[in-house]
Amino acid sequence: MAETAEETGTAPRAWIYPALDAAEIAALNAKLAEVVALRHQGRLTAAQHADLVAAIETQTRHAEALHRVPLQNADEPAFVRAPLGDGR
Amino acid sequence: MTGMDLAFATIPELGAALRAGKVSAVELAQLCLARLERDGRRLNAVVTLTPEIALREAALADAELRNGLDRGPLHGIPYGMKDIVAVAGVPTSWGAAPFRDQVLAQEATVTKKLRGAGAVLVTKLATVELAGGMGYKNPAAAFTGPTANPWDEGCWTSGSSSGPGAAIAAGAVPFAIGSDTSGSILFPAAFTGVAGLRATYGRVSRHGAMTLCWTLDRLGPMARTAEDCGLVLDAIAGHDPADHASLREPYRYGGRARRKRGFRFGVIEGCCEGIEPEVQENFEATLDLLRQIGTLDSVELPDFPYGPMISTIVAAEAYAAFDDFIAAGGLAQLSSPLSAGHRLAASILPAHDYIRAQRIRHILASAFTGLAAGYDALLAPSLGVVATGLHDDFELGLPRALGRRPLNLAGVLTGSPTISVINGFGAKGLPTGIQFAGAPLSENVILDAASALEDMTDWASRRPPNFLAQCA
Repeated sequence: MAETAEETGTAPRAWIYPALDAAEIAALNAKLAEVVALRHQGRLTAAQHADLVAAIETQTRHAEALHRVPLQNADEPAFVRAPLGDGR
Repeated sequence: MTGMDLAFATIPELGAALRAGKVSAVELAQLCLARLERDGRRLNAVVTLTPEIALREAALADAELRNGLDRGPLHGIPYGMKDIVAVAGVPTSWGAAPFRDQVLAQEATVTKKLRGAGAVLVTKLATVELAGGMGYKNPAAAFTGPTANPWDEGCWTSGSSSGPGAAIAAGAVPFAIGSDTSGSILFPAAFTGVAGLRATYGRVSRHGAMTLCWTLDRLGPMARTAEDCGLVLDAIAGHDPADHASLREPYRYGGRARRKRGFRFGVIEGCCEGIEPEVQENFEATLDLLRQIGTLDSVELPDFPYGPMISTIVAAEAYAAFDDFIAAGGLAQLSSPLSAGHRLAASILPAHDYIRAQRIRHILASAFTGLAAGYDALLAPSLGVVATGLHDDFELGLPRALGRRPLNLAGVLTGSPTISVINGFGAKGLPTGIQFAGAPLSENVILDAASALEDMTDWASRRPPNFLAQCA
């Protein structure tokens, strides 16, 4: 009799979040800065825009670091909705 | 006791003087108000003095003691409140010019608890604007200006609980309430040489305090000693239906019956990499002292991207907490020129990246708690540098750029308790700090360990030379 998948314990395929190369990251960051500038409709000075670009670069770099940590599908975030709304 | 002794006395010392009739609560409040007016304002530690509240609460405290009603260790003791916490009838500016006239209708739970414990509010104290949550690169990021360090007025206190650190170190208040999202109690405590306790997440209700990050914000005591921090925590801890994150577990400070030796310490591997030599020297000298009262093992923090995790969580939550303000152009009205561009980046932070940071945080919490549970306290320098220049940009080499500090970030992300206490002075007479981090709910254990260290030295009782003048 053939074993069922449950009995053999087929491991789920490991999917890896793709890493971007430097050129892709630079292009992404430039587009993201454009989006924010559009949303704020020209209210940014040159200095503020430079701070924004620097922050976006940091944010993208941090996202890359976060995506190098392997997670399982059911790994839950550190906040959990309490059914009664009053914590523990 | 002289006025000077009173100005630098601990909470138990002040309580003994009050109960012996050597000083009244009104006299203590007047002493603090005078020192805040003379020294606190010069340091930019004060936002709003509260003399009417102080003298009313102090007179009541005196009357109650005369009539046999003793509310406990904080009865008649003056204190300052970081100006992100609401007090009825008094502006709560959050340190930011756009909010400088804000008077909140609902008083904070911590304010009510301190009043119930008989403490006497004498001042609202300076904070980096919006608790630093919009980003800043210079100590001038507050509408009250940069807060000067009593040990060297050319240096900063660190932030964001700048006023509490400065006021305690200057002998202007015996304790204060600070707040911490990613180090805002620990860092000023280290720079100013006071004790600062970031208790377990949820120990202290945040109701009535400015929200920066729901999953990280904590309120906590800053004071002269670890024991003082325990006494204050005892008064302000407890479940509050108005703060859904507040814990139901009760807290009682163990007090003088505390343990003196037999501790098991874990020293974080690599915690001295890149730090200033004087900080390292003091840390190593402190480890030699701690060997007399316990064992020391070298331990490795679990390997996680601490910086990216905290940065992502703070960006997402701080932006969300102030999204109307930000979208309406409010950032441009802040003192920090950095914030107007910097925090806008969070407007395009993907939700899944924020949630990923929180998912990793969950795994980190399990790993860190397992590590911390094997020790009474994990040890590292509180900061890798001594106090930096009052007008220096951080990019020039400062608290955020130097030193490896993942123990602080591990404590921040896991919600576990940490206390910073003074562990010496550097070459120019500036204090250094050591952090004792414990497993969740283990405040009394780390307070015991920090108190035991304080008992072995006189660092906590030293006074900044320029603040020894009596008030008229």
